[in-house]
Amino acid sequence: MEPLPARIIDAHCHIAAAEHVPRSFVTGSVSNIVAVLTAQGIPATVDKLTAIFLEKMRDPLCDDLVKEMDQAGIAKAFLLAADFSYALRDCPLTIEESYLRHRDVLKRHPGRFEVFGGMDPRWGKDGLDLFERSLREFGFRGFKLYPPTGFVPSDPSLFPFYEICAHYRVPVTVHIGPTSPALSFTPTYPFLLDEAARRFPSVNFIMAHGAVSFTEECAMLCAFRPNLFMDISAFQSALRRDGSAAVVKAAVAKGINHKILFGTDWPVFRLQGDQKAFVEAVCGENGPLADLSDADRTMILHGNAERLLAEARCPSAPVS
Amino acid sequence: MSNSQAFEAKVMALIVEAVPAQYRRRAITPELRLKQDLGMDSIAMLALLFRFEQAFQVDLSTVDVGATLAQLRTVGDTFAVGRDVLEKASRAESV
Repeated sequence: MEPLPARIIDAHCHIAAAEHVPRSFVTGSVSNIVAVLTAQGIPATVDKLTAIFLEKMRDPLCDDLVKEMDQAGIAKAFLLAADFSYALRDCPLTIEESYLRHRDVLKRHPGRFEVFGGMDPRWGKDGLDLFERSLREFGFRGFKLYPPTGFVPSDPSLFPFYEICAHYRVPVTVHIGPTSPALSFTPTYPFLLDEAARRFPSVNFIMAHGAVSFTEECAMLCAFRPNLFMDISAFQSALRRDGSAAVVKAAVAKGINHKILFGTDWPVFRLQGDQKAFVEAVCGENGPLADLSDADRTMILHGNAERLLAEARCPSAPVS
Repeated sequence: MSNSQAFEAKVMALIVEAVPAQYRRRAITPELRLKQDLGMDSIAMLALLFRFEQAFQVDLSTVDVGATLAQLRTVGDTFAVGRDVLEKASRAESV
């Protein structure tokens, strides 16, 4: 095994705490695993698997995550705060409370995280105010959009949010592809982002999971829209399918490695392995980045993320 | 056959049941790695634990399944981890 790369930025993580996630989102997600096990005659239940998954969701201050980042050589991670408010009503925290918890994590681990605040556009002015406050006062550095909750990323109701992003020069991460069956998959098609990317050329958009879901479309958009990027998060599901994440390997062979960011989607795959194992799987001799030049690997593992962050023009993160 | 051998034979039968056919052409020995050498993915590992629960009539809620899964790297690990799970389950029952 080659030594781990010296510096990595994980562009796709979430706080591993059940209070940020609707219970119905989790039960929906595990129902697909229950279907697999039930077909094999194994009496697994949604309740049992949900309990197993929630065991891994007890890290509200990200102390475990920081330990795993240290072991894996991950210098920094982006924490994405999804807003489920208008689609699923059983999230323990309001979006404002979730923002405040994320701010606490920033204070607790200075320099280790960047937070992208999520907001459903149906919040209107209240949402705009809270989102702008997060950039101005909380030290957040990006915008997180979760279209499966019921909107498309080029909807005009989002344009005022993009104007704020353009003003503060922060990137927008947009979920791409299927997710928990509790939500809609229809708004997750990558070309639904194209109009927003065209109208806001100074805003950089990162298509989350783009190297795993709708990869051809995402790669095409990255190649032709200067402000579109994608991450490789959820590569673990591709590794599970074929052992080498061939779909990710294909994505990084398309000449767009200046647009691809490393990401793990912590804590979604915690039952599958730890952060060090995931970094080793991606960078190892059979992994999807194995055939790349050092320059390309460097861009994916941290260079592209650093470039996007360097553009931000907002106050510094709060220090504890 | 000793109790230990009988236990390992029973666990081995569960592993054989979970391993994809193309990996079963070789003899399954304790040093083989479950993922790399035997092609078991994360769901197969979870299935193995649930089959273990069924076969040995234990309650998996008495153990940290996530940590248990992380310890399962080789066939030999499943014997050691299996014994540990049985011990924890038995302790939990007697409390």
